[in-house]
Formats: sequence, structure tokens, C-alpha cells
Amino acid sequence: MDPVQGKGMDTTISGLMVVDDDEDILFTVHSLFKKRPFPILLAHSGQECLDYLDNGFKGVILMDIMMPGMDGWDTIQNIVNKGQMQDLIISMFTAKDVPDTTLDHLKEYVFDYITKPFEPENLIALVDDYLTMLS
Amino acid sequence: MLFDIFSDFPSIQAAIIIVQHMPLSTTPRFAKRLSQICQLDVIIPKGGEHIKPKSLYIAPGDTHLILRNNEEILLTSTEKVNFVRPAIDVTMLTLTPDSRNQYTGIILSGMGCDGAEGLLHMKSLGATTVVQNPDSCTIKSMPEAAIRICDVDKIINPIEIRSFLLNQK
Repeated sequence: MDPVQGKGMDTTISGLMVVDDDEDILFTVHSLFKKRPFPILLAHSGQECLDYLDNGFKGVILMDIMMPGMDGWDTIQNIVNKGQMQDLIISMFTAKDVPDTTLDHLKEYVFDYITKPFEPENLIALVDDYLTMLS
Repeated sequence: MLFDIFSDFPSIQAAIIIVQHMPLSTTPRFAKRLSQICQLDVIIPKGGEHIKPKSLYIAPGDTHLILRNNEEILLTSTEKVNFVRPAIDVTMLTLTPDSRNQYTGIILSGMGCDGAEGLLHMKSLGATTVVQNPDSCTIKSMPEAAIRICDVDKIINPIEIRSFLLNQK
């Protein structure tokens, strides 16, 4: 993989960030979008996601809910607390039949949910829609 | 989901109100994308608009959308309901009996129970009530909550919801 790194990234255009502790998911999503003309960031944890945001990332975030340590909801809480939602669209990766979050106040910050495993063409279409929204 | 339903959607006589849980900053982007893919007049109301046919109104983030006399859109920043603002229940519960218009209430995939009480209220007004088939939902708690308390008229998949809307007069 050769994803764009956080430092020095082009923060003038919207990009795609995938946040997942599953290396296979990161690899798959990166493979789907690596030829696209926008930054692609791969974050292995919620903290890495927050670091990228501090470096100026804006765009679409595909975020796993279940991650060790800071999970997806905790990460969104941090993003909201830091006032960094303005230029983001967050969609969450979920397993089928995921239970509702107990953090009800965060639901409105998630634009959509994507069931894993996902169909590549569906994911591409969704990301394209989200990036068009941000353009 | 909504992009699937409204992609290449033609102009129809009915007016449609979308209440989507989202931050305020997302609303204009969401509206822009919908206006690109469908032929309805996509409107983010500012309050005071009279509902007109062939239009698709989007409740702005962080604001409840209510209806006065079933025909005028008002916005309010009162307390969150079901932990969200805009809340589907708030909008649906402001509808009152009306012999002039036909209503349809639709609950799509989503987390929580927002919309269930509102759909039950719409059913009591004689509206057609539709819920997305939970088996087709990524997050099914909202449809399931609606089905639990309301004897809904249709439980159907997104493609059927699209067809259903296209047949509305």
C-alpha cells in the first residue's frame, strides 16, 4: 500500500479516510480507490484518524464501529468535541445486525451505515456520492 | 439509501419532506446532491414556505421541521426528541386531519426509534404507512420500532419504495 500520509497532504481537496483495525479492509478499500485523484488515508485506529484530522484532512470518513481502545463512536465524540465535523461526511462500517449505540446523541453525525462485507461497486458509488456532496 | 430511491427520479405531483438525521453543515451538500440526481425542486426551507407540488423539502440539520395547517413549513430549535434534531416524530406529529390531501408516511433504515410514534399518528389520520423491510436495512431498529407499534400498510424494499413514490398522484 502507498496511501497518502497525513503530513503534507493536500488539504485543499476532499479525500477519503478509512478507519479500521482490520488490515484487509484497509487494503481492499485502498485498492478500490488508489487510482482516484484524491487523497486516501488509511487509519488503523481512532487516534490515527484524529491525528489526520489535526493535520487538516477533510472529506469522507469510512469508520469501523468496533475497534480496540477508542472505538468508532468514541472517535466521533472526539471529532465533535474538537469542532471538526464541518467538512466531513462520516459513514460507519458495521457488521450485520449491529446493536444501537448507547451514545444516542452521536447518531446524527453519522450520515450512513455500510454493512461489511460490502459490494465494491456499491461502496464506490456511495463514496462518489459523498465526495460530490463535498465538492 | 435516499440516493438510490431518488436517482433519476422524475417530477411528480406530490410534495415530499425528508427528515434525515444529520449535522447542519451536511444539509446543503445533501440537498445539492439530491438536486443533481432528481427532477424535483429540492428546497431547504427557511420557515414560512407553503408546501407546493413537485417539491422535495429537506429538514435542515439541528432544526425541527413542523407543519402549520398541514401546508406551511415552520422551523424550530426546541429540545431534541429521540436524541435528535430534526426528529421525524416532531414533523409527523404536527399533521392534523385534512380532507383535502392524501398523506403517506415512510420510515427508512436508521438507528433508534424516531418516527414510530409519528407513523402511528399518521395512520390514525388515514395516511398510508410504509416501512422499509428490516431485512433490507443496514440498521434496522427504526423500521422495527415502527412495525412494533403501528399496523403498517406496506413493509417493502427500497426499490419498491421508489416505485410506490412514483405512483403517487
